[in-house]
Amino acid sequence: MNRLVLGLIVPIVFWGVLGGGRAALAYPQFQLSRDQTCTSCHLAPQGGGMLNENGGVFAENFSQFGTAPEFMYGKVPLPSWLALGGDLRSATGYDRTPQQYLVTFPMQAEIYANAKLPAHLRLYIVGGARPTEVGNEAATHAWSREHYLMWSQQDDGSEGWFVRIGRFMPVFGLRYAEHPTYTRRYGGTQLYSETYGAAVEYITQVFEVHATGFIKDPVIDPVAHDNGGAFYGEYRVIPTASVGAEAMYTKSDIDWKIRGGATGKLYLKGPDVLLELEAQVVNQHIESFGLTQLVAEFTATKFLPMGLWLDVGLGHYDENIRIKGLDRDALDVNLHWLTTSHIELIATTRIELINQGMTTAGTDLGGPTGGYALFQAHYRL
Amino acid sequence: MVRAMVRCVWIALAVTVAACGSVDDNRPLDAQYVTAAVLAPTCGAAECHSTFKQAGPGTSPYVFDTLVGMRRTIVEYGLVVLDSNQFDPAAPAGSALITWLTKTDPFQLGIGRMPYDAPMPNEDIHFLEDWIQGTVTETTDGATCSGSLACLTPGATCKIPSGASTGTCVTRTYKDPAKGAQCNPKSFGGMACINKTLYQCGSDWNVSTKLMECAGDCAAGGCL
Repeated sequence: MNRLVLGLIVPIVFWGVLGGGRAALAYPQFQLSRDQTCTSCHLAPQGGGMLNENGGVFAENFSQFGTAPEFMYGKVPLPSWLALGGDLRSATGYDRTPQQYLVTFPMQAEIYANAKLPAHLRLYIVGGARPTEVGNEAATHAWSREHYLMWSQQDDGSEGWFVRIGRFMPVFGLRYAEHPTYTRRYGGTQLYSETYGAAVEYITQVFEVHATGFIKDPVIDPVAHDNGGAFYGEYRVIPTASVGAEAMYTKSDIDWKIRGGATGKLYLKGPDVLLELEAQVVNQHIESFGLTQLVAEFTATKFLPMGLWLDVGLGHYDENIRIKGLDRDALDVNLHWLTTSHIELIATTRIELINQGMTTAGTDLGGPTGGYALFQAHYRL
Repeated sequence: MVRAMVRCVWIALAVTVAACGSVDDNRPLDAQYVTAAVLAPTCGAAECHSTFKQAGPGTSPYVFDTLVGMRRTIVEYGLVVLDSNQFDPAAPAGSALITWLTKTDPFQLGIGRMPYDAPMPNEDIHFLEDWIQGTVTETTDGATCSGSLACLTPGATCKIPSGASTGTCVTRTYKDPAKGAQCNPKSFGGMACINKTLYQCGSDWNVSTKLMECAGDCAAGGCL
């Protein structure tokens, strides 16, 4: 088939070769622009997943049409010690790989349970569908991506000490929900790289620190094959600006890596724009050979009326900075529309350039670069 | 100029002192490096050829995010073949591994070029070709050859310089092709072919003891 004239409308149902399988992390766009910490709106110290009461109120107020933000619109009575939630996502759109497809695929179908226990303890469990493993389909339709026991200094508070043990994503960097961002895919927190570990975290309005130790998941065939540790600290210099530092050490059977990086966020009140930057230098060692990588992401977010916000992101990944032609850049433009407190629609687009686009058709061995334009539907239970 | 500046700004932002990519490619040609630095980040993403998903054509589980998985995938599914009847080091671009990376639906399976999301950088494709080829040495018997005058030395090929009508007969020797993923010690009774030579396959998935030169082809762990 000719890649240039393929132009086929090929309905493909596959679990996320591109943007698929988005297990929800946070929308860091709201931090500083709408509140100071992730825990202001989320139950988990790293943000993402289930909303707390304040998060629900925010979703109701920010969205265009409001609606009751509680689980199932508050129609399902729950005991005071139990909180339930969930996320359903799917995507449909155009994908150039370089062959051109119209694609439809599920992204996420998960439910969350958060049980309040005595002595400031909480049990948090995320369960749902996962991409099946070829040859082991029967046992891999469902899983629990996250499950951990958490102690918090304040019983229902969003600040102070948090200690967690269980399965979760090491807390590192800005933690975008969009897993194709280079700082996630190549930055140590790629999709489904949750693993078993323990974390000690301290969060205040002014600063927060997260230290996580983790091991390779011994139970399933995992995404992350490392043991290691991660640190992330963030200091909010003023209520509208923060700087952060990050470090991660990982060791697998075939390599070890040290990541060091910085983050910065600046919210401009007048234009209602948030600027975010994360940059990492990665030192990878494979046997006796060492190399240095660069991973960075810059995002500008413009908040608009009626529950809309627009992200424009530029990502950069250099696989080995000493060798020419191994760098790539991605331009992402995402328009989010929080229609109600439960329904979000997203237009997400990306174009990716290899070697700054210096190699072009005719010389690109792999053909033209990739890109997509997808419409996502997200329903929060 | 602008492109170079943009790139250097990114690097400056990350406070690195390294240059903007200028050194000759000195990457080690072995399976560990190929896996950890090239295949795992590019092909072994969670939803693709990871241990977690093991996506592959049909029911073939391809895994590129671990050394064990990469070796098994390369060898068992013929992504690089070292048998004499399809000796990929002689023409790495024709190996299934490179074909998947450079052609659209190369095997008429309805599966497009890999990776799906963005092409692999040219430099990495060339690096994989170098890895498949290993270290190549050429020896010549001094005989002259041309399109109509074949080489007489067994295994020799005619190397004609660009623009010339005649050339020299050369014999190429491939040292460590596809190093680290040459054979599976548990397949074919632990025997493996590198071109027309039969070897014992070692536990490091490289051939070890030379057993014999085959008079004809060598394939599937035996002389044919």
